[in-house]
Amino acid sequence: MLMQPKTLLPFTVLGGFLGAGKTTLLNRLLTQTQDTRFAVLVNDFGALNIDEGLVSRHDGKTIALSNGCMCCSMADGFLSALMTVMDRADEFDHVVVEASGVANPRRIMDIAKLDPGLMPNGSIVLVDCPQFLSQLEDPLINDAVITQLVEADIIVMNKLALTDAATITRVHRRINQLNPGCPTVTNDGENLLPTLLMGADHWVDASTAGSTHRPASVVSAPSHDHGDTRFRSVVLRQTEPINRDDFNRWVEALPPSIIRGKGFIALAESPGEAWLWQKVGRATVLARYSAVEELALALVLIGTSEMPGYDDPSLSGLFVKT
Amino acid sequence: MARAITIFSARKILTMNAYQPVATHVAVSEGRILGVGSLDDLARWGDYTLDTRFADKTLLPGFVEAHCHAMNGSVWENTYVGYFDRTDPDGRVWPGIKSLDGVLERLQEIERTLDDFEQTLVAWGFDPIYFDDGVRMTTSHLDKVSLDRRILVQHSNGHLLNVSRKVLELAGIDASTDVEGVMKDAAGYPTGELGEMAAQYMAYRVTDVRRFDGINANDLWAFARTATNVGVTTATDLHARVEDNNVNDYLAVTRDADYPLRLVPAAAGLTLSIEEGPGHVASLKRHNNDKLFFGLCKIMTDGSIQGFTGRLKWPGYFNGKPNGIWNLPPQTLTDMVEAYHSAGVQMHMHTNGDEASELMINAIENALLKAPRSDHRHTLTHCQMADESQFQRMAQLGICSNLFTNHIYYWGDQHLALTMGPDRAKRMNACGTAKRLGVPFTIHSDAPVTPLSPLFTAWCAVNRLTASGRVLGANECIDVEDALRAVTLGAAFTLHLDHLVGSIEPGKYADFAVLDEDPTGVPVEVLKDVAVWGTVMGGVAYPGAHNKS
Ligand SMILES: [Zn+2]
Repeated sequence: MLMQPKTLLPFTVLGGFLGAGKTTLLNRLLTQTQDTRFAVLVNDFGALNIDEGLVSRHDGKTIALSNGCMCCSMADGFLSALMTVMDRADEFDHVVVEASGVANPRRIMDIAKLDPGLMPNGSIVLVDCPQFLSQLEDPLINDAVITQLVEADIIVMNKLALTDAATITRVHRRINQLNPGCPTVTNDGENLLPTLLMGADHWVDASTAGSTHRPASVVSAPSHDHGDTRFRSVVLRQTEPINRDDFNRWVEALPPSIIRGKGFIALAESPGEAWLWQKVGRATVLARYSAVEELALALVLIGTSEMPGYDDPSLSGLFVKT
Repeated sequence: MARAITIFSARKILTMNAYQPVATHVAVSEGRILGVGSLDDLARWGDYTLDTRFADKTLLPGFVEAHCHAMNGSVWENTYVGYFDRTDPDGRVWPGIKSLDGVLERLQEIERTLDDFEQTLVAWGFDPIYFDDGVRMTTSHLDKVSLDRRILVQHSNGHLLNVSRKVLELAGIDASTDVEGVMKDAAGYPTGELGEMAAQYMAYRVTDVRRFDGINANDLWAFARTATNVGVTTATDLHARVEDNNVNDYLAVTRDADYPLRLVPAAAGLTLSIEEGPGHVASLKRHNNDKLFFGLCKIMTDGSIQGFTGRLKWPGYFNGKPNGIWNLPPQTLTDMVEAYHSAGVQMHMHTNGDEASELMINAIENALLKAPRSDHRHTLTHCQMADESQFQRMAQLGICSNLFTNHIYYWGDQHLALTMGPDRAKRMNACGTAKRLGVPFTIHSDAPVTPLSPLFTAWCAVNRLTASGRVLGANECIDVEDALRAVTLGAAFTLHLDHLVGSIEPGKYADFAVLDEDPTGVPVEVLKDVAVWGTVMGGVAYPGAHNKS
């Protein structure tokens, strides 16, 4: 029978066509988040390219599972592996699926929408900038490439160093046409902050501990954040319950430079209850969570360097900044 | 010491060997064919025992099914609720069910036999597309079977699943569920019909059914029984997991002297890495014995045509649906072909749509340029839509085809109306063109997708009749003789086993299909109805389950 795990496992899908750099990015994320216990499922035929050293440095707590392709009739291996992970959900902090080069990430993410033990944490789709424009012209694959982009929650423009500025501009324009308003970040080196892509995993713990006044404490890999100025985070603490309509309007107005958000708020309609709010790209959810006493009420927002700062009233209007 | 010789007499023996197509006697020694001809001829080998039990039967080479799956045995662990008659491993015919009420009645019968309240009732083969009234199953229908039991009804297309109210409840699927594949009624409530991976994952997750387990020895025994019942003595398991436990089970059954089937597991290329897969598949050959033939690799390219997931060239699907899907990026598929080809491994490539066939023809051409290799016999399996120019290239490149003629009967009407339209539907599974252009070909069932029965598959190739009785592409019909050759020597050729099986010829294994009548002596319309007594494999007679007393 279905066991209800105590906490929800964040479920992240890494998508993008063959050659977009999914495996490289995944290996880097594993390097930078060594205190997180990942279950990594690779939805690609046999090739398990996860660096074994990384898996072992995670103290045997991260497992990597290789499975058949999950599209079409080939899903069985992947699904049985995922069921195995879910039977041991307590042993993990995060499930990451590296989708096959032709997979539609949304179809994988739908699993997390249904499974009560999982929490959708975003479909991150990588774009192979040097190849992207020709991929769009290739009738054998352009439908798969377009579907991946359209279904993305967060888009990462990758391999910028391998092409020129004019191409990057054209790629960016096509991305905007295909998925207008989707948060798009560039990745041209070492410093793509894991938190930006994987979410603030430790946020729940941090806020429970009442340590919300130090933004760095809610970023899951602060020690690897080499003073990077390309990404920002803002923590907003709530002092009194917010009217639901006001909150929804505030969410709607958040700019695309804010890529992720997560935290707990209380609503005026039920001041004794905490609601879990989460934002991944444009997608947001608000769900009843628990009684208020156990939690500090605050939200963390993570975005690119263009995101508004603490002082901007569009962010802090409803909150008291910390 | 004189060798022990058994001579079988038959009313007629169709040998498939060119120098002596018809005979009355076949001599067998050490499990192999010593000679074929008249009793006088064969008596010159020396002392013999005359076995006359088939004196009124017709013998053919044991049928060879080059595209089926060992799951054909294990599906019978669950309840069959399909539209067409189907025979289980024990020879029991489960009559096709022609209405939704009939399906519910069968499920109620099974429900009455279940004592364990917690057991999930699983049914398979459900096919509402054939019901006249077009009615769909809902949870309310399944309420009539049980209000509390977890029930899963798998559709025959493999893509849809109907579940009971209890399953929806446990899976947390309700009106608020916003996930593709969860069918809803006009009022916004889920009907219990689930498509797509995510919804089905949840349904299986809240049951005790492990649909995702690999093949085991039990399955392989049940598979062999289904084969014997229809005259098959050599069969593929054409998408095999080849991990140690699977390999051990293949070994265990085939080492058993009583196991009545030669198995050809084709390693599932999707489950192996491109770096290690080719070497692994090649090295599996060291396990081979007289009933086990590793060394083949299956490559999956596109989806299915009736599921609108096959990859089509212009003008695409007749009803305007978008093009289908690749299982892997085309470049990766091309790289895989080169890797396996270069390692000397033979491949059977699943290609349904013509764009998929073209990709594989291109990939083989590329591999041949880089690593020339004669007699590779790579085979496009399904190859349902290949056109004349593609068959021409296949002929030039030495590519074989394994055509899915059963599709003409089971989905031909849908192909005409929805997928291909009136023109291209006629060229589907073009046996006539393959023969005319000299592309080596066989035909298949893809069991359990359609029933395992080479005589039925041959009947489809000869008559090209759809379920509604329409002839689909009369110009692609082939003769009975050609169709029978396709399910014996033709299939053996595509498996690189024609030196061992596929014809009744000295030196080959003594494998026969034993038929009550001469299939070349009956009207072509009833070819599929010729009764199969059972088989002889390695000189040993194995009656079908229906003939065991
Ligand atoms: Zn198949």
